[in-house]
Amino acid sequence: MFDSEDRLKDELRDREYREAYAEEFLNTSIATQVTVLREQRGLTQEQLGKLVDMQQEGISRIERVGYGRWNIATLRRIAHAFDARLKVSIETYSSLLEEARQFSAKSLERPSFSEDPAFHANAEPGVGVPAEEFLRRQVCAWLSRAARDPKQLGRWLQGLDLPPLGEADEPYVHLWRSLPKEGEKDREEFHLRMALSLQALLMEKPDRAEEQVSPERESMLRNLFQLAALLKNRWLLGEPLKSIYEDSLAKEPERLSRLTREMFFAAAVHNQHSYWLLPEFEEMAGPKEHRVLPVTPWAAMTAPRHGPKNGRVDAMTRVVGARERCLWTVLERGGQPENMEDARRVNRQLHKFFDSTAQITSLDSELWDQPIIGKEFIDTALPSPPKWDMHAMYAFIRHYGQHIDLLPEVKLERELESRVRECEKQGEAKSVTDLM
Amino acid sequence: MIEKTLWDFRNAAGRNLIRQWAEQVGLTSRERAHLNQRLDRLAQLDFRLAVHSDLVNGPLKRAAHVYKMRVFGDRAIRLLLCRGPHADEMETAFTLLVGAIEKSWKYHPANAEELAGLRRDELLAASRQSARVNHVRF
Repeated sequence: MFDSEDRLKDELRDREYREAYAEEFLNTSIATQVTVLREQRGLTQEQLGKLVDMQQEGISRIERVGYGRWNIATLRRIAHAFDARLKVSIETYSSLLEEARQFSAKSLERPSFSEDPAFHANAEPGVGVPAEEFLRRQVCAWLSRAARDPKQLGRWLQGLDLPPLGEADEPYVHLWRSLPKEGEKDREEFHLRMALSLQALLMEKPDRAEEQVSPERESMLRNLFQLAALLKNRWLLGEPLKSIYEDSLAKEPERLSRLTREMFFAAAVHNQHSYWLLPEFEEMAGPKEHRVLPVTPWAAMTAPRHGPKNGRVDAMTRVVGARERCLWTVLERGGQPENMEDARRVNRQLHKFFDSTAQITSLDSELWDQPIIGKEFIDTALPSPPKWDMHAMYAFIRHYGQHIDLLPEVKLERELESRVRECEKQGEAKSVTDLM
Repeated sequence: MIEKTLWDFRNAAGRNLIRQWAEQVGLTSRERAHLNQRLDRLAQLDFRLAVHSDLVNGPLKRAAHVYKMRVFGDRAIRLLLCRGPHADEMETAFTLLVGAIEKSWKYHPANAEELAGLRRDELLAASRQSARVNHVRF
């Protein structure tokens, strides 16, 4: 990453040069780190000044790279104000190469003692650090480790060791928000690591001697299934989910509550490793309730959206409920699933049905505006084999897209529409079915 | 954080004018070390932080979009530079426009700031690579 590193190595052979470079690097590092740590703790220069008994102007001077006239006593006071320690040591020039290469605002950040995960697994947010940001740092620090104890993840999923984030959302929501967002650094890597950690947690065998799964484990599993359904690398969880299903769930469904089974199924479907569940799909499409999984395939697709326990849950339930009712009606009118292959016909029927259903157009669109949910739909629906339930879902999305003003990031309806048009133009597809 | 690319301004004859200036003024080892260190950090730091910490100052009054890097020592070395300058590289590149020495509140060359502004305009008008070349360390 540091193209000129070899050149710098050469340059440092000159004694006068290396002394000057090292001195200037130290000045830049100190000035920048004081700024970074102050901002990390949400302090102004004036607030930091009060903590170390200095004027704001004094802090401002220390934060300038050209100053360099600070002394150890001042820096020690500043370090203590940040609840960190001052380290002074004499180093080799080879270590300068590494430090220069690694230099960034991020590399200069340090947690305060109260946030240091080595001391506090259930640490409290520090001065000026909101609980969400505190958890984000803890989760990222944990994911950055080469050896991660899945038990810590299990505790988080049960809502333990979390900072005070309120009761509005379930633990998986907080963990999901702690992961890097689209376009943020290390997103891919952190998603992968989280998926691997969930995988490890799933592989841990529960205590089978228990007659019933403990409420704590059930809560952990429910959150795990919901988080799994959101992750980019969720396919990694396909096999462990399958083995849970075959080894225990299918045999003893009552060991888990109906809600947890619903979440499990959502995770399995969203993991797109649901081929082993296809026979179950057929049973679910029948008139009787499935013996293990109490949801219909399309409900399973939306099951994770039941998760957040906040004001939106009613709207979500209404959306899902209305959608299910519509789909059932269409299915009943259209006959057997194999007759549903023509997605356009389904679409037309849905349109007709929705047009006469005022309820659907007045629903809260906030939930559906979320880019991540839009992407979930695209990821789940488009690459899948042409199954009738996918067509129905696609038809629903297309219809719903016309009733809400989608965010630019989502472009769900437009994205689907453009793919259809593109294929039609090229004569590659006679119907939407060909795209799936 | 993506490391930013540094460019040197070059004239129509293809001459790297930043390198030429450095040779003309005969930078000492110490001056080269200070300049290189600051440019290395500029390439690594978020621009907001670079301005906050005085790694660069600006934009200058007499040349909008031009920033100044100040290095103190036996001589007051100044490097005038800009972000980008093309719209799509404002977060990923810097171009060194003019090298100068400040003495008694005056630049040598005297029109350094105006010259930097003109060179930036020239860069924007020219095809992307014709008026600049990859920065050569001091």
